[in-house]
Amino acid sequence: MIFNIVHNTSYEYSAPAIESFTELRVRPRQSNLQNILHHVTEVNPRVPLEEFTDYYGNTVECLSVPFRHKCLSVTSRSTVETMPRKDALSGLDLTVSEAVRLNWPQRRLLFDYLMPSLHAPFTPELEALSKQCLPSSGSFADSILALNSFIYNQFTYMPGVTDVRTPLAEVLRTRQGVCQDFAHLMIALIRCAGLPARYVSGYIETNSSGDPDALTGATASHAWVEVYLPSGFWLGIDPTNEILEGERHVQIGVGRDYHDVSPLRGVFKGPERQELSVAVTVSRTTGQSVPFGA
Amino acid sequence: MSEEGSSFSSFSKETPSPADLTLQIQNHLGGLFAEQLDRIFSLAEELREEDGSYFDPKNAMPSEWSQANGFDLMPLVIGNEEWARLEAGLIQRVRAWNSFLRDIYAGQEILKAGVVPYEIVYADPNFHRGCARLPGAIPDYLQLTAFDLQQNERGQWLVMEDHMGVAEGATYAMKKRQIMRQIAPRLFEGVEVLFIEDFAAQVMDILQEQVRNPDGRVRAVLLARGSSDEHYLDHASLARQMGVSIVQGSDLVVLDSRLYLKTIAGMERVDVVLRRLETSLLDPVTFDAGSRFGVPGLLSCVRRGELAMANGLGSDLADNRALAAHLPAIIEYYTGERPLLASPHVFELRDLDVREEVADNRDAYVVRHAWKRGPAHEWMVRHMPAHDWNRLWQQIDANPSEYVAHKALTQATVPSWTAAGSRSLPVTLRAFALGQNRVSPCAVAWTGGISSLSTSMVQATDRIKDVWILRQSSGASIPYYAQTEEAPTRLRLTSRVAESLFWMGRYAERAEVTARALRIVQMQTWPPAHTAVARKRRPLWAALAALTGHDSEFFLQPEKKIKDVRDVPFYFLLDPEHGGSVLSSLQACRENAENIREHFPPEVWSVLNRLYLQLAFDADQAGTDRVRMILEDRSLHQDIIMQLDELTGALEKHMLHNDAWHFWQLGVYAERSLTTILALEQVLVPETGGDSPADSISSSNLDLLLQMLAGQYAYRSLYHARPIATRVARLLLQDEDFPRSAFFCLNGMRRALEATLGENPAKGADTPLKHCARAITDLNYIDIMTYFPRRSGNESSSPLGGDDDLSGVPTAEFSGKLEDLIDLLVEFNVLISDHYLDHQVVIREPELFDLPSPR
Repeated sequence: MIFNIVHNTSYEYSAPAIESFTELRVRPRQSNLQNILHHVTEVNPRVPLEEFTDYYGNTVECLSVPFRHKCLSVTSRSTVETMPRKDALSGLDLTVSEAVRLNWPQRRLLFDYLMPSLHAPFTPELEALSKQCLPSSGSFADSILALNSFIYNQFTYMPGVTDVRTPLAEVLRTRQGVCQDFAHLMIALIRCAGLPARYVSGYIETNSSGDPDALTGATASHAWVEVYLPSGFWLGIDPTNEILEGERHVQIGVGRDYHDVSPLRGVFKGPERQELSVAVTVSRTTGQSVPFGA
Repeated sequence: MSEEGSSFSSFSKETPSPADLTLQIQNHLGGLFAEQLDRIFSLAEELREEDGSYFDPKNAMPSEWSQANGFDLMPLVIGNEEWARLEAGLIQRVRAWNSFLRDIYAGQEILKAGVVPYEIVYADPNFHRGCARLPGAIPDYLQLTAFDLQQNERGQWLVMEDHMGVAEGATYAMKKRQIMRQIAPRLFEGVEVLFIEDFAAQVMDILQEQVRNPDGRVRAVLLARGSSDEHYLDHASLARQMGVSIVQGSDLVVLDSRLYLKTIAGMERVDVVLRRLETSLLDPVTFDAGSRFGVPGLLSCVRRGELAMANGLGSDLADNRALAAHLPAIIEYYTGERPLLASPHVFELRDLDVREEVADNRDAYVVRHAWKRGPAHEWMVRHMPAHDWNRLWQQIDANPSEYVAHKALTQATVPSWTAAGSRSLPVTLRAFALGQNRVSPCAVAWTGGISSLSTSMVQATDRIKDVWILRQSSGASIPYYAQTEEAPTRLRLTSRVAESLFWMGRYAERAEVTARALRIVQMQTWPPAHTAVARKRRPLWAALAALTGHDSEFFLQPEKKIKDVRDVPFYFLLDPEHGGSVLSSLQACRENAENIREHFPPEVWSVLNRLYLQLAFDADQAGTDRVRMILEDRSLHQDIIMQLDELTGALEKHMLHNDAWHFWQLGVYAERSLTTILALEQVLVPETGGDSPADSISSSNLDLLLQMLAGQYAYRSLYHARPIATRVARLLLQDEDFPRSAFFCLNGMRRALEATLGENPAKGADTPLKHCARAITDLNYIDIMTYFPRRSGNESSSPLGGDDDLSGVPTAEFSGKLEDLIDLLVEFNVLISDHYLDHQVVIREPELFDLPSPR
């Protein structure tokens, strides 16, 4: 499938900001599951963008605005072709503890995704819940899918009740949140079981207009999880929609948690208040045939 | 300086062994009379106070000055051969760490090879993933590093701690040496001690190696936390000796992946930063988002190769004590050598067996956090109460990989000699490595444990020992001399410093004029009194009120605080709650000074600090008879004025008359011109609250006004007669030579601005100068006579009796003219701030950005 994605983020300051420096992670990553046909990032005020690849392989663009400005707006436009996924889970006939053991030779490379992180800490509650959801003698594939359903069924998608700083403990208590909270929850539970999991920031096609296949999560950008399979692949799981990552998902970047892949992170000097608005459209382009690998 | 009796001639020509030399020094000191020793110690005390750098300004109250631990006269003597061994071992160590850091932030080969457990690296918050694969052109991570060493009972030096992120404290050694040479020059006679005074120049050499600029210029800054840092004095002193600016994060800005310093002359490019902050604080965008000390985007400059950091970003990782356990393997992996210097064996508590061993024999161990530093993160278990140990053990059990332990060391002792006498104490030695090839002979040692240097060095400086590294008599060692011959490229004064100096000038001037005016006004009849004299003197009280920022009717509607004239002196001089009191002004002045201590000579600080502490002490004792007396008989006023004269004198004499000086002058003149006009306005255009406006101005009031503004001498020199209003107005407004006249002050501001801006000021940067010139023109055009109508008839006789000549009051336009002048001056202050201090107007966009104007 081919998508045109427009992702606009605007900061409106209550009074002019004096200086600002911003890092953007809004460029979809190239991988064998998705092909970036076109990408451009536009910023206003117009300043040069510097580009680099971070520790996790994500493309970062940064910009500095050294003069007074009342607003900062970033528009990322991408055309991405996504590939159909293979069924990676059903062939895996092993238990959770076998999966843990099979991953051992890769432990150095996976270490970052095994340890607790800023937004996905280990707590006694999470560890207990993890034992329950991912028992070491249980089937790895079944447990992961059951965990996906568990989060989907037991937690309510409720925009606005949480933000980036909401701790997992509170999400666990109130049983509501957004895709980011569900992703962090799932990551923590998987890591507590000794399995590697990472955070994926990206987009999803929602088709909210009465589509029977309508998916949740994307008036803004979306977030989900990847779990490492002993077969050497990362498998995408979307607990917000109780599905596996598919052709309707577009990845921007991966990291230990949100902190590593926040779409826009910056510092500015000036007023204390700012208003953030984000608008994302993901639209399927029809009839266009783009040769594979273009 | 010291002419103490017994001589040191017993020293032979050949350099004695360290042990012999130490003994000789002990014998020498032991042979001195008590008075001679007393004199040496009191001289040491004096030098410390004079310098001001040896006590903590935050805690120093006069009563605490004397509580110093005592100056240690005994140097730590290290022989040349021993030093050479240490040097070789430390160089090996710093090279190994440098290779390690280069590897870790690139391919991580050592982790792949399994030589070092990757868990230690990946779990350390000082392993900064944002610093990985920075393609900076410079391959070296470590420019200035330090090692803490202690002696075991056999006298062998062991490396206890590495400082690969930030290495502090070298200037304490230089300070100690300087004082030692002054108070006990005889100790140095006949002994060849390695020269340490070019340490800063050597650091500068290392920094210059990091940058290859086509134009050969290297612009360096020292980035630190500011005066809140316990090692601020070390930072400031090092920066001063290196000839670079000491800056804080807010002084710097990143534009287009280049780093710039905000100065009074615009933005100055920076090539290399000597950092005194850990990496996590340096860039809030990439690292700790809550850091107030960093520069957003700093990392992008390094990434583009436009900026060199010393030490390299992320090098703090090498301070990890669990990693140090693997240093022998690290050395072997990168160099193929065996370690030359020993360290205590480090026990990693993440290992269960090790944990059990430490728990079973806990009294033998020192437990330390793997990456957190300071006394709060190391525990001498033998000295811990059981419940503290249990709490610590719980923490260890929860996160065992965060803790290490080593056997408590039985340390050898070395002699120390303080005013309290001679003792033998264990010492810690900190040696500094410069780059990969040199260890500086500028080493610092102190009595006490590792972390005591970082707890409160300033108060502990006494415990510092001068470290003497002996030169070999054969001359086999080749001393290194710094390459830097010319002074490095100096950056312009930073806006933050300029702002502080500007405000120092304003506050000092405010304090002086307040004390001076109060001295006169305090003696006048209390204004609310219902007498003719009280009414007549009201304008003077109004003048005092106006120039101290109060409403001119202030004394007629007294607040609860000031019920009568007896409350007045305390309120204006010592009241800490009154923001305009002399005490408050001096406090503000001192606070500004404290942040920029490196920009003026110690003499200035010493006068300012002494005066402030004295006033704070008096304020504290406000209830006592003594203080009541000095407030009443005005001796305190006189004292303040004299000490402020001393401050001005010290500045005039000791300070370079450079940009910093000009900003101080700007502040003084800006404040003075305002107070002069405000006072004049109240006396010449009196509004005597409620009563009908006075129709005449008494000559005695004018005389008192002149006294308030230190103008009596000036007036008498010019006119040889009793003051009359027109002449007083002309003197205070337009006189070219009277230092308090509005004209003189404005002219002074103009000169200061011209000196700062140079011949060709940047476009727009000279707006304040133009404004100043306009104010001067306006002032000169005032024809004072036209505002004072000639009085008709014979009214020169005073209704109040005989000897007071009266002048007529000026017209209402005169008052309007003065108000205009006041507005111009206030506006001028805003312009100064906008152009040079607030960093806004000075950003020279066109040179950096070719962009449409910002929205």
